[in-house]
Amino acid sequence: MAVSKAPLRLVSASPAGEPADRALVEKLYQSHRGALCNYVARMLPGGQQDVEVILQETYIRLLRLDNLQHLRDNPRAYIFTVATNLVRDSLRRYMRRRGDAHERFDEGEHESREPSPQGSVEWQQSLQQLKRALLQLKPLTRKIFLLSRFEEMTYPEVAAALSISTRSVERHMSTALKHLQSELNDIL
Amino acid sequence: MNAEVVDEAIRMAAADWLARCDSGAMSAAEQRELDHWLEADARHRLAFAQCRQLGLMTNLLRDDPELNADLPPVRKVVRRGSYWRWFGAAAAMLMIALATVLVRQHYAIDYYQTNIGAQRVVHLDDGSTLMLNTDSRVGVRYSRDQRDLYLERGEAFFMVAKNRQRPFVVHVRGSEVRAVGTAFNVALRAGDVRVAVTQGIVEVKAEDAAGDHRQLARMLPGQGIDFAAANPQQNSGIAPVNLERVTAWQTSRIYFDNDRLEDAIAEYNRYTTRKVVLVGDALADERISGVFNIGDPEALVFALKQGFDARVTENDQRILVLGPR
Repeated sequence: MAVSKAPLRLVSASPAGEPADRALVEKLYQSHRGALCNYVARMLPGGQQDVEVILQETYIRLLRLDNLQHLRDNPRAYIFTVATNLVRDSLRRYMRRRGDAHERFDEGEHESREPSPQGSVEWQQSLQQLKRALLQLKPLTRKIFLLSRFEEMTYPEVAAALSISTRSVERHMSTALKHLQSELNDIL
Repeated sequence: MNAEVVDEAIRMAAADWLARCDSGAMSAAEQRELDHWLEADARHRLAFAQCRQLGLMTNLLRDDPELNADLPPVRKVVRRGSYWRWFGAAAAMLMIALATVLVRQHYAIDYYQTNIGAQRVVHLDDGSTLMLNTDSRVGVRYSRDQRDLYLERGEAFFMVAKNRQRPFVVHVRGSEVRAVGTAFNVALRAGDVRVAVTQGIVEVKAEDAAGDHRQLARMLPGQGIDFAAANPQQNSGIAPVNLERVTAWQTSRIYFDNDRLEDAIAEYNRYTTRKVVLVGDALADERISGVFNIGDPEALVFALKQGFDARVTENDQRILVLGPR
């Protein structure tokens, strides 16, 4: 039990607690906060409140850094990576909750499982943009990408279903990701 | 907007890496190369994370009719409600059952929980067994590729049925405890995660400050690690654990070995709504050893009186323990 208490104490006394480091983190965070806010809002189904939570947590993680070198090297990329990873976790939790809701729906024999437009305007716009980008893909590439995403099919399973090689599944996945990145450039 | 930071070349490379990574066929050398690439530049990590993000966001378009239009029909029928009206009532019922099964496999988390003082054994579909300690909650979500469990509260012991194709992963506050055919204990106490291995090999992955999952420990039987849930980098390192002690709760016993009395009582109180309260600091730092039965406060009270000359006053709600006169 003595062991378990040590880490908790150390959390509050992390190296970024040095005034100089703290000031640097604060300065870098503040200078990117506006852009980060827009960025997160477009990647999260929730509203402003959820965005705030992600920003808070991002800031806390920055404060906890042992080594500020990476942050100094490229503050923007670093801060946005931290936020992206947090958004990812939040999105996974959201999907799990939504999964639960779906099940209850089915058991109640409700048929309405429409794509339920939810979330902020920014989020809806992102989804629409993503959908347009997906529809622009070549049919085979789109089919492969969507089977992998929607059905959680592994590459070998997709390959078997479409009678192609696993390597070409990989190539199509990569092609799709490249296209999505460039089409959603203004969000990323 | 971000183009000045992450350029085209980095994005292409990130897409190639993620596609390779998701293929599940990456060699150890490739994995090292990927780690190296990610480590080299924050922009690489950002582009990689963004590719992941785009994939996840795509999942949320799962029910979009246009996107579903050219997917193979077998899967489409099972999943999509809009076609149901074309089937007879019986077929519709079958569809509902099928959809429920599929949805269950895809998403559903079954929750198991215990109240204070209760314990519970759960036999899972794959032959694994889950034992829940007092005041605990575990979610179970089995998908084809992975067995995911979520320790949300308390403590659980996992006996894992071996299946290399389907890793058994216990998620606890953003960290992962991974096993293939093994037995281990995971406890969540006041922001600390404690993992102890009784059998086989167990890997713990935790998030670093940047939110990436990295291996924190790989442990053998008799080893354990404690870490702060909010900051796994602050940890005890891999250390030997007393397995008898860690697993005592499974036989409704509680095991103290030279523990501070205050800590021991806090531990004891996890199992009872009638709390033992230590009044004043006089006894807090005393040490206590011994094995006690859960739900038998008399024995503990007796030990406190005998061992420390404690004065004890009891009522229905609590047991007050005072230092010697």
